Amino acid sequence: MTATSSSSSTAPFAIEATLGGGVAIAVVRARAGAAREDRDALLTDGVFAVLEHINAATAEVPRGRSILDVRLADDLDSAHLPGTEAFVEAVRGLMQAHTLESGPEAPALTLLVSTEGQADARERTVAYLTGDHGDFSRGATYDLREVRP
Amino acid sequence: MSVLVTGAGGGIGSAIAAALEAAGHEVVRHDVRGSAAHPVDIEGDMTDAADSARLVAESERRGVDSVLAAHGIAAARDLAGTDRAFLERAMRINAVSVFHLYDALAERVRASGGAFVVISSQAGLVAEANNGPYCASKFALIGWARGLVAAGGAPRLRVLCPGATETPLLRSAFEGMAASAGISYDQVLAERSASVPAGRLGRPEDLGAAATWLVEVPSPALIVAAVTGGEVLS
Repeated sequence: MTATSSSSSTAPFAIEATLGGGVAIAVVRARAGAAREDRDALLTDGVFAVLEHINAATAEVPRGRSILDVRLADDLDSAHLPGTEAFVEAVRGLMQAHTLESGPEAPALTLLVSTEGQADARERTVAYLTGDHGDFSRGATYDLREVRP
Repeated sequence: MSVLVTGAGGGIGSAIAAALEAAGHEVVRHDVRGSAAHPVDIEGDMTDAADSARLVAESERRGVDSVLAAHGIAAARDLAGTDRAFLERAMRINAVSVFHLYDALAERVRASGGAFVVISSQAGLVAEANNGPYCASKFALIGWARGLVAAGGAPRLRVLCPGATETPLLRSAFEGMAASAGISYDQVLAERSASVPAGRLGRPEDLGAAATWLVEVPSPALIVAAVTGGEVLS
């Protein structure tokens, strides 16, 4: 796979998109601090960046797979929770809406939420989603976190 | 209780304000602008810093101890046709401005034992085609509320998720969905009505009753109320 885009390291979010073999994966890291400006940027610029990826992947991998891989810090401070959870839910709303708008020719879009330390669970889930039957999970959110708000 | 109701000039907000008053609460009405049918006490743009500061100061002066954030806009559009400005406007008005209002008044509400109620939508529980920007903004409200409770220290939080309700905002949303889908407004309306187990769309009065209950009910810390006539279950 080849990295196709990423955002500034100083932004409250970062998206690294990879494309290959009919699979588009966007690794989304929400870095918003407790600062109001970061939270607001995550909910506006960050959500739009995810939408741009969804639309790009729809064109790039028809009938393929598209995964929004949202990774959260293992030690997320409680002050970050409201903004981060708002962002995750906004992304889920976009993902569901896209699934309902698109037909079978569109890539099967799913949302995967995990903490950085859950590499094994994440890899197994991506393997399923990109496998022979993973496309029937289109529109699903798989939140792998052990503890969720 | 003294309750600030934003969006009080709209179909849902005005009904909620009337229901709260009928239940014996003092209501401070806010909206971008009032009308002859639905006058407001304070006018202002929730996304304007100066207007918001004025709203907070007036809320403090009038002893507001609960907030009901009912302001919002329709944002129906297919995602392929959604540009940055359209999505950002929906997110700023429907979600971010609510966060700002909470930032300013949460401590006051918590200290007085009040409730902070936000109006999301059934489209914040399960998304709808050709309504993605609106869905994202309303989903965000629910995630934010859950995050606040998990973080601790929040006042009583309630998220009211109305189903399709007979208001001008609904008509605007249905018209946008119809345009994106290439069908008529009447078709959207008929399809939606047929899908509601209650056999009808919601009425503003349904939400007034629900909002009054949510303001008054003392526990638990968070309630996400799906008042949808059974169309979306939570």
